[in-house]
Amino acid sequence: MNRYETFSIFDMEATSDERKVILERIEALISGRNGTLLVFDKWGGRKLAYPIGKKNQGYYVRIDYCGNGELVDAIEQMLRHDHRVLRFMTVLQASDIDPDALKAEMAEAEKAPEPAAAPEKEVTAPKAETTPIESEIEEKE
Amino acid sequence: MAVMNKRRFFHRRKICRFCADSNLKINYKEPSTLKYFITERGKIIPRRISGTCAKHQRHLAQEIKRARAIALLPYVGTYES
Repeated sequence: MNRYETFSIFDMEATSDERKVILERIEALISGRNGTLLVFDKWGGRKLAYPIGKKNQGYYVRIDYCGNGELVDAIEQMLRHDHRVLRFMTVLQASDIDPDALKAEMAEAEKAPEPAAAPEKEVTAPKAETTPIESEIEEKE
Repeated sequence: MAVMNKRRFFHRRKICRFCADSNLKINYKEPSTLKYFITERGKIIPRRISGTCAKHQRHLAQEIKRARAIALLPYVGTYES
């Protein structure tokens, strides 16, 4: 499973209900193809750096999900066809990750005030590795 | 440096901002960080002027180009927050 992030720009003139319909369809797509939706990050309306389709403002939505390449193609196909989506861009964040472990990490990150859930996990792992080494050293001594 | 350059323009001893501060992340989603590395015309500032190291400059260039594609940064012109 790879972790992808799709950044999409919706037309500001589209109502929030229309946006909801599109996002729900994407969510159905993701779960239909055994993907895992992580986050629907809605940035909201924002001024564009340059006009797209003669429009100066857009509604940004970031979709964070895990899946494979076919899922990405399906989502992009859907966004491409919909005329209310002005632009989209998919970025590969990480390859070969376990979505369940990632979800657990994200849940921990939400609970903990610092955004240090991942570093915490990394810190605990080396500790587990070093203790056997120390015991070996003690035996040698 | 064994060989002395006869013509030394823009000789900067600046440290790479990203190497110095590991919390500073280069991400196309943060145009506020990226805007320091583009000129008034929107062009990417060369490494010898901004002082970034090669690795981070490559990363920076890629992220600026991504941000431009998503209209978070302009292709031409200044970034207005």
